Amino acid sequence: MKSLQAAVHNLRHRKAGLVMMTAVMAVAVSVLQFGRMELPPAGGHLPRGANAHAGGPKLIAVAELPEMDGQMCEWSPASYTATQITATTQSRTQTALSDSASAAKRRPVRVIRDSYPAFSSVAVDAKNNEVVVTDENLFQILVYNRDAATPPPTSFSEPKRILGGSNTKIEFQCGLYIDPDSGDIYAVNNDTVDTLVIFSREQRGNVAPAAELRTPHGTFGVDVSEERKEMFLSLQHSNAIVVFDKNARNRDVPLRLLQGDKTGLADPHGIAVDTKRGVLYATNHGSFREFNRTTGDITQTGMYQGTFSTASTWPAERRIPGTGKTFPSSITAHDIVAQGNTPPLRVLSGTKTQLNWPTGLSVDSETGELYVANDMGDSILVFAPDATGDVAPLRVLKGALTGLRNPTGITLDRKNGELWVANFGNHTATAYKLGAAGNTPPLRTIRSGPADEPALMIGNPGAIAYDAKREQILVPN
Amino acid sequence: MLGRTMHGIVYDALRDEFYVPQPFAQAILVFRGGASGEEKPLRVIQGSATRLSNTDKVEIDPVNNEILVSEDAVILVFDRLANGNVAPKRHLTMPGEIDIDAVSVDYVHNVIVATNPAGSAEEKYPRLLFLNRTDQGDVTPLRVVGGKKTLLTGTFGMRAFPSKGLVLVAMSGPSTAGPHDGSFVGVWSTTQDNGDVAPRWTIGGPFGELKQPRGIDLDVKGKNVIISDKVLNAVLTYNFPEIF
Repeated sequence: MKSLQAAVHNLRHRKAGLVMMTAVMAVAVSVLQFGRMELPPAGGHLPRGANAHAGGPKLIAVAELPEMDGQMCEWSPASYTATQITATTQSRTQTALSDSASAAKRRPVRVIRDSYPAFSSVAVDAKNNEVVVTDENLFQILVYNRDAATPPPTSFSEPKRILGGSNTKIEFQCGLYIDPDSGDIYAVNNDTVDTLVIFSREQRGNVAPAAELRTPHGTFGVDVSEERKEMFLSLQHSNAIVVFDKNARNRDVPLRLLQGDKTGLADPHGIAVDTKRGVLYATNHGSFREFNRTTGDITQTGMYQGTFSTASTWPAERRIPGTGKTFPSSITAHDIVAQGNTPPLRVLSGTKTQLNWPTGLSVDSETGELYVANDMGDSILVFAPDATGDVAPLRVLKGALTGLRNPTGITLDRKNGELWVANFGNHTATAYKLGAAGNTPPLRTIRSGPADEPALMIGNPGAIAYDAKREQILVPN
Repeated sequence: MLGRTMHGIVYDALRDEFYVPQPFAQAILVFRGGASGEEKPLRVIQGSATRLSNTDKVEIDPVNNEILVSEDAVILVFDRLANGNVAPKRHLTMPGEIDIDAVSVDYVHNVIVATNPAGSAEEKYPRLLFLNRTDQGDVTPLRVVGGKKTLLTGTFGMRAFPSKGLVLVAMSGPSTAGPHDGSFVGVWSTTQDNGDVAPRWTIGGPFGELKQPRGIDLDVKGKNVIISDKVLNAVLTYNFPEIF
């Protein structure tokens, strides 16, 4: 779930490669002649049924560069051992002789995969002294003792409880909430399973959720107002917030919907509710497109259950073509009962805020201070309760000692005076004193992988491109 | 301007640029090869004239200087150097507003290949539609590959290999929820295959390593097929000299 820039994998720096390292592009296309494309009629459209040719260019000839199948001297990196070179040659011989049936069973010569959990969101069960994290890499929810810590020589800490497997409907769970009374775990999925899953404290392993709620596609954040018995969900894909009864289940529909071009919601991610002050906050990455219920194209309707509902409080999901815009990252503050296409009370945005893909969000119920997991800034930003416009944070937690790396989840533990962060970029959940600022090391760190093992941050890789010039694989996530 | 949900990317080796669709901002972003950090795109296609809507996948035709984008029931074609709020230079639709997902171009044989995930009204199997590259407006496919023998189910990413007249298609099998036995990357000819024909090769399955393959690209020099898999959260490289 990381940016493209974070997921470029350079073949030269990977071991176990049977991939040939070459300095020349494999196929260069020589275009000997091509002309000018004729333009369509004004408006760019032809009548339906016209089936017309554009009368455009035709490729005349293609010339490939010589391939390196032994006819030329193959270049190998100096770091290649004789064994590696031999292995490469043998592999080619073997595969060339195989038939198509065995080809289907051929194993990959190289796999780039993170074998350790990647934490994306975090919540604390103060009553039971536990910390809960979601893992978007291996599709799990992990529960640790709150005071657990992974000492440096240890590869990782064993969780005391794991939920995961096809029965759980856990995949890309990106938002967490723990019921303070029951300890029930609420977790939302961002992209692939349009279901909020709820597990009791007794559940573990590959079990069906104790309860479920169908959610709109692209749900990201979840928070609950226990006083109002309402559950708030941010919807990344449809630029909206929906509010459910806290006890909503199955195919119940939202109580309220906040959506539209006036709301300031643009690719919303984290969500936090301050019931005491009657304010609802959302972090926005800035991408925007408009929706309505009558025209345009419907969005993907969910790969597992289908999500479309005709309820007026279900988000409009028909995209309006050509309405795309890109805004700076922001935090929008809304009235807790806002609905419809209502403008925010306040907007935080601008260079002084340091917001850079703000993702996880939590509010201090006592002070009203707003805590932001600032994904691409590798920082935690803390804003005053009434902050608005382009203002600097009250405090910034950032630096090499903090252990922060692509923080995406954040939660406050007021009972123990701690701040918890899920770092998607380094296999850790880190705990700090609530008022920590500057380059302050964490009080404790729970690691899910060895400290020297890089987190690949490959999450839901929907595409791939090979940069032949640099011998790099580009992976958007 | 990148987002956290991007289902397409393509590298233009001739000009050392790469193209990324940004669905949430209805935009096509073009970056220089080797771009790193918070670098601005070289060009951005975005705005009311573009007709961009879902902007899920993108293809580049480096020879004929075109960008192709699938938008549900239409293929939009932009000039390769399009920048800003510009209209597509042409578009292709098919009778009945057949849904289109991935699109790829074989610029050597002048064929556009599109996946049709929902299939026809009569048969709900996903299909591959082969179109004349220079067509525009409401067009009829040159050929259609679809049916039980094709094993086409759950199509997602696609990559053409123009110099060999092939197209590779990623498919996740009959159910994305698993089991994933039907997942693989299939290879068809862009110039010959028609009707209910089996793939010429299958990579990574069925009953192989792949669980939900999505993106595909080719390392021609190494004779490798590189595949991303959503369930595995992994990138797998298969040495597959047969298709090279």
